[in-house]
Formats: sequence, structure tokens, C-alpha cells
Amino acid sequence: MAPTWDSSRPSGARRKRAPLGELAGGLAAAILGPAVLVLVMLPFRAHMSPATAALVLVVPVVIAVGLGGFSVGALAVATGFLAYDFFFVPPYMTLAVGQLQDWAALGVYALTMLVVARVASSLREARARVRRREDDTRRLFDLSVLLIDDKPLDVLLGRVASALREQFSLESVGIMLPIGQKPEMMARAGLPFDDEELGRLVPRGGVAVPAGSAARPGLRVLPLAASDRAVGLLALRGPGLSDHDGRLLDTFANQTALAVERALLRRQAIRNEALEAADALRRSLVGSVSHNLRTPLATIKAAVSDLRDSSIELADDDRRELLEAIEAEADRLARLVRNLLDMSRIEAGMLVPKMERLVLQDLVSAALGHLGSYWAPPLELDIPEDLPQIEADGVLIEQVLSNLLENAVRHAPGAGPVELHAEERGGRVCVEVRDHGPGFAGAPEYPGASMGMGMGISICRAFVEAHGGSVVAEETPGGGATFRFDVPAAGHGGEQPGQQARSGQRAKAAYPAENPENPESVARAESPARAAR
Amino acid sequence: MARLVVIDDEMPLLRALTIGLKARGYEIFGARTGADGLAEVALRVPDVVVLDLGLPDIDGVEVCRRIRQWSDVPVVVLSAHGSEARKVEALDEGADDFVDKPFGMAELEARLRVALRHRAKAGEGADEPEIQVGPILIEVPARRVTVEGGEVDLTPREFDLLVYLARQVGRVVTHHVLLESVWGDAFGSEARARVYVSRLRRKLGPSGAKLLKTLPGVGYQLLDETPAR
Repeated sequence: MAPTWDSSRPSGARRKRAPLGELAGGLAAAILGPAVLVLVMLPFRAHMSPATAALVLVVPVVIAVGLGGFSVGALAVATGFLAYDFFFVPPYMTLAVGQLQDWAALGVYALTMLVVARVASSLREARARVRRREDDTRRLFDLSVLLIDDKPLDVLLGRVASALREQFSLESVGIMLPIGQKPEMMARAGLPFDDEELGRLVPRGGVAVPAGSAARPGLRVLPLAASDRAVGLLALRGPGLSDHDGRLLDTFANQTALAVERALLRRQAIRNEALEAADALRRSLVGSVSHNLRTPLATIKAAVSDLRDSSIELADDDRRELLEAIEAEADRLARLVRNLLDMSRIEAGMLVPKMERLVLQDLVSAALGHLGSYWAPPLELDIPEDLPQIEADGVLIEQVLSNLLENAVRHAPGAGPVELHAEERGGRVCVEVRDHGPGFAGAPEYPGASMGMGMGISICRAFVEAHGGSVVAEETPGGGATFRFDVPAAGHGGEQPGQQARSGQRAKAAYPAENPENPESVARAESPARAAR
Repeated sequence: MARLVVIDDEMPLLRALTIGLKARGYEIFGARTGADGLAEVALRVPDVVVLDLGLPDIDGVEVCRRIRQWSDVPVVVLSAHGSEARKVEALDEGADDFVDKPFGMAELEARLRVALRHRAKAGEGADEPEIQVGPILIEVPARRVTVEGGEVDLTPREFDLLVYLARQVGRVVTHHVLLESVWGDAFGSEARARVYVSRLRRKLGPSGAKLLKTLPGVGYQLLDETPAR
């Protein structure tokens, strides 16, 4: 990969300036070094042997090689040679050499110096290689540490982009992932890419420019490929990179691609899990709806066929009881149909509560009226006199109450009174419906058996969540089931209409069939087994 | 007076059944949970048990299994889910018959009558050399079958099948049970059973065939009188 970088860009200087400085130092040592040493030694020339001067002149050569490499060292050898010949080999101040032994001295000097320069320069190169390798290792390590954690994809990409920008002193780094048909910029570090650059990165039709293409100076694209499949693009803009850095960048890109792939798979897995949960709930709801429809129908049909049969004699009391059962079960069917309609309303996202100030006691009475003759066990009401009014949609909360009460009746037949308890807590009114039936532990594991109210409880949750509250199910101390929900108390600022609308939408989002992105909300919204009891 | 134990958690349905069956001359004991139901069955020694599969405490199939551990009382299952699988499971566990909700009282009573007759017959002993099912007479030692006096030529396997169904007269026999009892292969192909039953039905002629019912998705039932179903 031959980069076509604009080397005048300043940002690459941090890594390029050091060799330049060393080169200058080397040149200085090569040229000025011998000059200075000659000036120092000249006064003592008469008292020292030419060999001493030759030894002293080794020093600048070693320094020059160390700083500037072999070629600078060779220059130092040349200047040293000339200085030695000129000043220390008689006749002085000429390049002429008088005696044979001086020729020998000069020759040995030149040869030795070249060997010294060679050795010193290879040492220097080896040192530089080790340093670079160390540097690469550290950079790769830093990046892999970054990739190892399980972070959300956007966070991960953001960190990778900044890390790449820093490590390679780039101006901008962008990571693009295919969203739908077109790659989209998911994370960016540094200056933004302008429209023209983006256009070049992703031309019409969504096909990215080929890897390494120099569509524009300083701009280049690397594919992020994992398992022979492109998972995204890495867009870079910045000054020149050496071949070495280019290769390192490729390695980075591969690692990033693997991490991106992993994050995408993980996201997919979470999504699938949520979808499965929603699907299981849907199935259990369908089961519960058909169960709920058939059960009252069975009673009605059995009772009607009793009444119609002229071959049997029925006592007046029995006749009346059968008629009452028919009416009660017809009411129950009506409630079920109402729940079904509400369900579709929730699913369609049309649930926006109409808030007004209400007295809880009134809603409880209305709910009991709705349950009608279905209500059999005694109800123990514990609503404080000074309970503040609630700020709620009366129709929705009345249905929450009637669903919870019906649930208690259905699941705790003949198991003592059902208790309804209300209290104010932190600007909200908490309502608890407690029964003393078998509770959740007694719930059969198989689907369909007693899941009757699965849908009723789901609707309660959606309605209460539309009021910014939540429904909690727990064991009643001493056995049985307790459902608790909360609604805003009046006079506590309530919620602004805008918030209401939003929380209405949230209720929709929290409804498990929706929003697979957020498995937590799904899990919170419904655990079919528990709601089914 | 026949004595029934009805196990159903739906109070209104339980009441309607109690009133209707009492008026038809049955003695009724109701239970709203599986545990209560088992206790009632043990205590009352009923002639027939009517069992809803969806109970709040113990799975209805499990209740059926537990009853079968110590009693041969006929069990008529009420199934409400439209899911054949659970109904078949209960029948595999020894339930005798089923009624799908919602049902009319006449239909339930017809099932109860079949169950009561089946109980009476089972009491006569299963090793009778001659079995009479409506117009069908089976002479077991001679391996001879006549319908309204006319002899029917059956293969050995068809004969075994007929004898098995005849000894279970009134009971719903699932594919699973039939394959295990007649072929000794519980996991054999249902298609095989279907082929033999349809061949048997053809050979029994119209008056015999109408007593051998196919219950789609469940199994077969041989009745000794024209069925109400």
C-alpha cells in the first residue's frame, strides 16, 4: 500500500520530527565536530603523536553515526580524514602526505572509521527496529484492550475511532456500517468529513470506493472484513503513513471488524431473545383468550341446555341460579371483549390517558359494579379517609381495578377475603389487591390451564404504565398473590399533558410485543408465567 | 342412583352441571381443585368422574394418572383449550372419554351413560369367550365374528383389533394405546392403525361400521349402541 500523503500537514510531526532532529545533530557532529576538535588540539600539536589526533577524531564519527545513520557517519569519516591530513599529517596545512608511515596512518584511520560507522549504524537500526516493534505491540495491545469489553456498538465504535486517530495522528477517522442498503457514518473522531468526501466514500448506489483508493488526497478507505464478509468501512483522512503504519492499520482494521461483527451478533442475539419472549407471550395470550372465551360459553351453554330441557324438573331456586350464572358469564364475556378491544388499542399505540381528578373509592365501587354477580368473596377495603384524590384516566384505572379483582376471585376461590389496600407514597397513590389463594407457586407449569388472566394483567400493566406507574406482582405474606400498582396523586403537579402523551407512547413501547431493542422493558412488562399465575 | 364426582375450578360451570345433573337423577359431589377432587374420588367412590383439565393446583392429566393408580372408575374429561394434545395425553393416561367445551347437557349425559355402561360391562370380566357389541358377536376361542348373524372374514390382526376395541367398549382408545396393545409397538405409524380400522369397518358392514367411530386426532371408540356424538 503506497500512500499518497500530503507531507506538509503538520499533525504528523510528532513522530517525524525526532529523526529530523537526529539527522541535524548527526550532520553537526560530522561537520562541526572535527572542526572543534582540531581547534582544541592545534595548540598541542607539537607535543602529541598523530595517532592520538586520529583517535580523538573517532569521536565525531561515532556520534554522527549514532544520530544520523551510516551516510552521515561516512560524511564524518570524510571530514575527519581531511582534517587529520590537513592539520596533523606533515607537511601541515596541505593535503600532501610526506612519509610512507603517514600514508599508513591515514589509511588505517579511514578503514577503521568506515568499519566503526558500519557497526554503529547497524546497532542504531536494530535499536530503532526494536523500538518500533515495541511501539506496535503497545498500540495493538491498547486497541485490543479497547475491543475486549462488551460495550454497546456505538460506544465501541466511538472509542475505536478516537484510538485510531490518536495512534496514527490522523485528522479524521470515521467508521461506517451498512444500515439498510447504504453505509452510514456510525462513529467519527476528529474533524467531520465534508459532503464531497462523504459522496466519494459512498457514491450513488451505495457502493463504497475500493480499498486504498486515492479518490482525494489524504482520504482513504479500508474495508472492515470479518468472516469474508464486509461488516463496514473505515474512512481515514490525514497525513502520510509509512508502509509499516499502513500494515499496522490493516491489522487494526481486522481486529475492529471482528469486534464489530461480535457486537452485531450480540445485538442480534438480544433482539432475538426479546422477540422470542414477545412471541411466547403472544402465544400465551392467544391461548388465554380462547380459554377465556370458552369458559363462560361452557357455563352458558350448560345452563341454557338445563333450562331448555323439558324432560327434567328444576326447582325455582335452581332455575334462578342458572339464569344468574348465564347473566354473570355474559358479563364476563363482555369484559373479555372489552379487554380484547383495549389490547388492540394498546398495540396500535393509541393509548393516551385522559387525566382528571378522581376519588379512588368511586373507581373501586364502579369496578365492583362491573364485576356484578361475579363478585362472591368478601372484599376488605382499606382506603384511608384522607387519601388524596388521584390524577388518572378513570376508565382505564377502573378497568385495572376490575381486572385485578376478577383475577383475585378467579384464582383464590373460597380462600378468605380479598383485600384492597391504598396509601399515599411520595406523591403517588399505591393500590394493592391481595388474595390468599394458591399464589404464584401453585401456578401449573403447563400453558393454558389457569392462565386465564394473563391478558388482563398485561392490560393492567399497559394502563398503569400509561400513568407513569408500574404493576408489581408478589407473594402475599402467608400465601396468595398480591398485585400493586401506583398512579399519580392529585395536587402533586401531576404530569404535564406532553408527558402524558409521551408516557402513553412509553406504555406502548413497554408492551412486550414492541421494542425488541430493549429486552429489559420486555422482561419487566411481562413474564407470561407469572402473569398467568 | 349413579354417583358422580365433578372436578372443575369454574364455580358457575360447576353449579350449572350440579343443578342439571341432579335434575337428571345423578348424585353429584363437586370439587374445585385437583387435590379436593382426588379426595372426593377416594371418599365417595363414584361411578363416573367428570374432570376438567385446567385446574389451578394439579394438572388435570396428572389427576387422571393418580386416579388410575388405584381406581378403574370411568373418567370423562372436559377439555377447554381446543388443544387435542392434552386431551389425548389424558386419554393415554387412562381417561375413558372426553367432551369439548362448550357442550350441551344432553351430550354430557350421553357420554356419562356410555361410561356407566362400560363400567358395568368391565365388571362382568374381560375374559368372556363371547363378546356382544350391538349386532356384532365375537366368539373369541373360535376366532369367529358375525354381524347380524352373517359371518365376517377377518385377518388375524383385524380380529385382534376388533377384540381389543370390543373389550374396551365405550372407551376412547388413542392411536398410541391401540398401537401398543394390538401391535406391541407404541411408536408405530398411526397410518397403519388407520388402514386396519378402515378395513375392519368396511368388513363389519353398515350396521357394524356405524358403531366404530373415528375421532380425528385422538383415536377410536367402539360403542354398543348408536352414538350420540
